[in-house]
Amino acid sequence: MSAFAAHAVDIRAYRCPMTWVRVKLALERLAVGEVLEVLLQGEEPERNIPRSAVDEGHQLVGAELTDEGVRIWLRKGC
Amino acid sequence: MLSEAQIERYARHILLREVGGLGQERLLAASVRIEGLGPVGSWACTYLALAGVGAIELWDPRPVPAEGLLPLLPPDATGRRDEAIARRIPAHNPDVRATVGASGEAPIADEACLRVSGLASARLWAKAAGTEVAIGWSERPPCARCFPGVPPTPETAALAGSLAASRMLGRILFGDAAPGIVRIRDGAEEVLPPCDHR
Repeated sequence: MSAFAAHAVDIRAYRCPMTWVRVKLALERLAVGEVLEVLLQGEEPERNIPRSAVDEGHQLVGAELTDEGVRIWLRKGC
Repeated sequence: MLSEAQIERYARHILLREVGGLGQERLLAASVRIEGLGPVGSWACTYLALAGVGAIELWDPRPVPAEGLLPLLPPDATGRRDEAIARRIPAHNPDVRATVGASGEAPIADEACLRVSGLASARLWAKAAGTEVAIGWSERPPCARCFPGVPPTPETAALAGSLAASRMLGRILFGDAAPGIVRIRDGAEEVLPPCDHR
């Protein structure tokens, strides 16, 4: 987990809609402004997780392609 | 904190922006009493149980109707409605604690009624006034149409937790099975007359 992320969640084992369910539950536990690191894999979560997060008022602050999958960072909004 | 089984069970609720995981936890911690298990009350009970309201107290001593099915009940159900439905609820949602309440004891309903709409049951009003009275079921209990222009205020809606919950409680409590009701208006109590709408 990156130093600036308060929490991390690995959703590679889940399929839609449980991918967003897991991320949403993790975001709910954060304070506004804190960052969640999400490790995901596959076309569906790559497309939908950032979009769903932005739709609900959060901010996509970074993304990185790694050997394990795609790692994204979401900053919790209001 | 939701368990793994609960996350699976309520995934569709968690996806809703208005509910989410925290909202589902509040539903699981909530209590509702339903008096009257006719077509409206039994459907309300069904939806509340499937929504994951944690504790549901039922009261309706009438027998299971022979002429029509109530939701949640198998065709061969017999006995009291409240007992028959309470027995079936855990099969539909094991998170719900369904119990059969005693007649004339409706603290949850009284409290919710007061918080949601500013209406208090006669029993609660009498208790606050320090008077012990027995309130029976009226021959013509008030129906929803007896309360025109009594929307929930922002304060009472906030107390009730959410607007959605307020609407649910309101629908149940102001239905055909509502007990004798006192309207509180500007601090003055007014006993509602018998219902003329039916």
